[in-house]
Amino acid sequence: MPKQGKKPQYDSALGSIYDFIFAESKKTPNKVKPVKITGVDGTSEITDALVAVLENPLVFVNKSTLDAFEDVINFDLLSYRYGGGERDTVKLNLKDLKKAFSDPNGFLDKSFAKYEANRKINKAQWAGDAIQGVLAGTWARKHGLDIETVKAVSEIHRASDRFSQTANFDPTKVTSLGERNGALIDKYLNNSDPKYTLAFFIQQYGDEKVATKKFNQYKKLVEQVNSGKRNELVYDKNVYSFLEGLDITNKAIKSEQAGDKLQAENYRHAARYLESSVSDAERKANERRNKLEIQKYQAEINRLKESNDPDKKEKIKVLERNMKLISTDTNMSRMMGLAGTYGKVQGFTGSMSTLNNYFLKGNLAGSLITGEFFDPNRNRSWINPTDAGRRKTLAEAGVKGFSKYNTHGVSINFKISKPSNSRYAQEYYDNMIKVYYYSPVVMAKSLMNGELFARKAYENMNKFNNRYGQKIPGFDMAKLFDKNGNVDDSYLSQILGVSTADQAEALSKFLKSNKRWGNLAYGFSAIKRVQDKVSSFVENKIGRKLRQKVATELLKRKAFQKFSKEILNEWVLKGGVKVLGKAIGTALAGVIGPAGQIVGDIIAQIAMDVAQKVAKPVIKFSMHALLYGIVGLLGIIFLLVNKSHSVLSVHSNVAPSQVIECAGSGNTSGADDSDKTDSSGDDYDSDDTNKEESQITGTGPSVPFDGKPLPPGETCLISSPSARCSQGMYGSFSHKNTPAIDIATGGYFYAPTFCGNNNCVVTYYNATATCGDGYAGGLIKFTATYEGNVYEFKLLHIDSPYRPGDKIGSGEPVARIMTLQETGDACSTGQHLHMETRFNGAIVDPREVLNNPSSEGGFGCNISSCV
Amino acid sequence: MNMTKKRAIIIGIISLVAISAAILIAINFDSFNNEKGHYPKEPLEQNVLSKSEAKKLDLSKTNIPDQNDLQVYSLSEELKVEDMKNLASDLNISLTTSEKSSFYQWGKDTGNMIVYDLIKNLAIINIKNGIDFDEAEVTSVTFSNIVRKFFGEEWKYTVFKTERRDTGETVYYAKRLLNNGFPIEMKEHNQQTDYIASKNGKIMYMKFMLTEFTNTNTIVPLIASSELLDYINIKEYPKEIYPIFTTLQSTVFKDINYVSSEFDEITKTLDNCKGASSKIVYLYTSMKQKTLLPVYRIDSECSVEYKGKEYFVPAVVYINAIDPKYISDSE
Repeated sequence: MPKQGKKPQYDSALGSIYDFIFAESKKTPNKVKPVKITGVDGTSEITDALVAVLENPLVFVNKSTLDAFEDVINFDLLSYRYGGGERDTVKLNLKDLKKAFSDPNGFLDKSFAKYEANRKINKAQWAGDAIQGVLAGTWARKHGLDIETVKAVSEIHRASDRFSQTANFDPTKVTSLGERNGALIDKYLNNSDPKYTLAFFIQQYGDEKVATKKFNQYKKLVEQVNSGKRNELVYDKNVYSFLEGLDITNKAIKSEQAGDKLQAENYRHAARYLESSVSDAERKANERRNKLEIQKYQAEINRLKESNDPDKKEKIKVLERNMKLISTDTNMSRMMGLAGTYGKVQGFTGSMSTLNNYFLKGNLAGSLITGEFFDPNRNRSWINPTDAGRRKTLAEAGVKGFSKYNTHGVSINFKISKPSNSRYAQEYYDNMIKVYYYSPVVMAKSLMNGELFARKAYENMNKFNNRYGQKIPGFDMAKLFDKNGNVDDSYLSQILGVSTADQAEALSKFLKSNKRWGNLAYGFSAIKRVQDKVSSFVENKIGRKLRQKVATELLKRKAFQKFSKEILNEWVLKGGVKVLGKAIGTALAGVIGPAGQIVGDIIAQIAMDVAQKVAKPVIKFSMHALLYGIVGLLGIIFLLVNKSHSVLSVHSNVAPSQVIECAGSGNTSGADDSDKTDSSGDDYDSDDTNKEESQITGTGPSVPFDGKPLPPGETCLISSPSARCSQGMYGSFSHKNTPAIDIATGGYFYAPTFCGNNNCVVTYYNATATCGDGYAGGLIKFTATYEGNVYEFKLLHIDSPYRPGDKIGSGEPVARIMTLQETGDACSTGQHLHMETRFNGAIVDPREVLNNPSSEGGFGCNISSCV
Repeated sequence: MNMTKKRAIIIGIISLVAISAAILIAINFDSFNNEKGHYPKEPLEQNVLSKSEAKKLDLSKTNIPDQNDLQVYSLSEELKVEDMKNLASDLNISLTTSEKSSFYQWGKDTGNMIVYDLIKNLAIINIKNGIDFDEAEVTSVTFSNIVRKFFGEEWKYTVFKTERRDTGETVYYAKRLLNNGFPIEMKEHNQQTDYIASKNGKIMYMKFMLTEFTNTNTIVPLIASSELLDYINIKEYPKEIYPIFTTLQSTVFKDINYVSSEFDEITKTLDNCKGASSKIVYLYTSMKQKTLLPVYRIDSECSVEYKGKEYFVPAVVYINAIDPKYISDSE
């Protein structure tokens, strides 16, 4: 009987594993007993590892493991976001529920203390940025620079922040800074302007090295825009600072041409300030340039002092003012450099601290076992082998380097090693990823989120791609699967058309194994999927709707419509009072000028403080409501359990692979089995206890067998006249839509004795019949005609010496029923003959044809009732 | 020594050499003759391939092996029933079925079991607890050693494929080699003649084809490739196509039950096969065939239709390789 696919088996194992782990986790360590696993055939390292986990719970089911489980099955029950990021969010989740129940107020106070500490750090950081922006903006306004330049120097420190807020959204929907950058791109990069030669940049920057770099940057950006990457550049802070710098430089040239050298110099300072703000190298080059200029001015002042120039006093005054400007510029630049250096030192110190923690304090082994070593938030040092970059799907990244595996329409994340130019480092990263996947905690977590299985699927893809990717013409793994992880049939067909038989077979095997890993990954990610669904439901149905209402109200104001529609949209999508504050600020900036942005930022910060204070009573109320709700729900579940405990306890305390005794099921014997695949190709175990024919044998298009008398001497056509019918016509499994019976027997199927006068002919023979999982044995069809009545026989899982067109003699052995081992175990679980019959073209029950006496057109067998 | 004596000795030596040479030639005449063999006086019966295959086959891009003549082998009618009985006795299993000169079975499939198919002369042996074998892993030598040990035959094999089964066994597929170096194939899933499945260092089950083939000293000329292109699409030209649907079944047709009439309808649309690589093999089907003849095995791609769309399926195609002049029309 067919046993295509493995899903139900995995489901059972999954249920058993969950039950076991949850049951064990409730016990104290001294009560946790190893469970002897039976029947698990270690065909893979994963199976072995899972079995090891279950056989030795004391080794693996420790606090770290349970913590990991808790993390994975943790739900956000409530969340209140008062800022723009994760750190600005107060949450109550499943893990905290116990603490919340025992001391609701104490729990909230502790949580708020933590979040308030975060806020202080954020505010300090924000204040630094804001003050710098205010100072630069004031300086620009004071010197009469145009509004765009004032805005640019005011906002450049927050540019990264502003760009990153929109980076994950539709690039065609830009915020104000994005709009500005887009306009600059269209102005300068749409076509290469002949004005911008190397000589132009040398003239502007003095330093040839810097100028060459700028010129090359300009050429590259033009190429990028010409190749259709315009929208990718809109959110690039470096592109913005370069183009805004170029725009301001052009304003300086204009001022020079108008004879206003002082204004020109001011514009140049603004341009340098802008460029220095985003790049350390630019900043240093700027400082060098300033130093030279100061020396130049000082020399000129010295010369003037010794000269007899009548206007020397006035001239010296102008020069000194310029020198002061440059000095201010340099001081500001140095402050920025110091901050950058501090960041680097901080990063280095953090990295050293991590190394110290692992190597000197001896926490390496523990962190490897718990998987903490691989967490980019906990280990930011270079020794962390995992790629913390943006996660990509197969279609985005080709085969290597993707870390989102799509199957059954869901995306499952897994870890990949980060890329390195050093061969040794790469070797280290690649091998450490293997260590990660051998971590018991990761294995245990994978039972909840399917990560390990997704990773195995990834390795499987790489393996096939390395072996056959280049050999099969035009093969592209990314095209083979659609975004849901399903095989693209038309592409597969195209690839099969150019593959050799060996390659096609290898592809078939690969697809089968990919399906297996996909099923495992999907099955074992059930809890994570439920978690995501609940979070998404809460966010979409409650959070977003509320925000939508507020946004609609705000959009009734013209300023919001004009200046901050996109930010409001973002707020509706993401939430966070900070983002809302920015929307308000942007609207103000549009109405009252650049200072409005700063005011907006301040409003946002104040709003966050207010929101945080408001959050406390709101969350307290919500939490109490939730706790009461949970208690009520538990009561309902208790009632349900009492009513239908038998259903809920089906899996209780059953280790994987043990036979699960469901109601109305029993054990099976290989020889007695029959086809078990339903039309969707899933596996089922049929059972001897299911004897009620009416339950199993269904109905379909067939007519009662109205056989005509046969000549005397006809005997049973199969070797064992008394055999068991293990599945009937239109049964529950592979026979769901098939008028076939399965006869659990071996030996030969013979031709009727009335054959021999060219009246019995083989109409079809395929020695290589297959099901989706592999070889199904041979398939033969032959007709036998007696006195104008035509019997048609279709026999499967057989071996035959006949060919299509062969005439069959009287009583000749037509087909031998293959043993289970011969058919390769792929489509059956026991030796049997699959048989269909037609009589004069109409479908009839094969059992009736075999069992009827010869006087009624049958062959006198004794085939049991079908189960 | 006088001249007469000397002359007599010289003549004697020359005569001795001439007689020795004549004896040597006479002794080796047969083998000289064997190198080439002789063409059959009567056309041979090509009764292993169907003569009613109407599907189109395109061999324009297939390199047909360049071979002029090949040996014809005859089949020994000897069966190995006694060897089987001895083996059954060694495995401590008794005869359970013996019928109509077609089939013997010792033991049951729940334990040790031997099935001996007399129609194809195949031995299918399952050993519940496995038997040890002396080699580190199964190789072609293992196959030769087993047939020597159990059936007293000196046959050579080539192991061409291994397969890991869900139940843990590794199955080694082999083809028996004829003494002219060409392999024998059967119409099986992997076209093997024999296989051995091992697990944890023990042989768990195996299948052996036990027919003996003898070189008949008859040779047959193979059909010229240009002529083959003319003949190949004639319905009666002996050929058979064995499609391998596994890949499509696990993907495009995954929702179609392989035993359903819907799948039958798809298989009926199989046509337009395009040959890729080809090689010469000898095809064995059953003891009914009187001779073992060379055929071309063409690894091909055929098309099938489903819901108006065309899909490709790999297929093994066997076609007659012998010059049609040497093949009889009737059977």
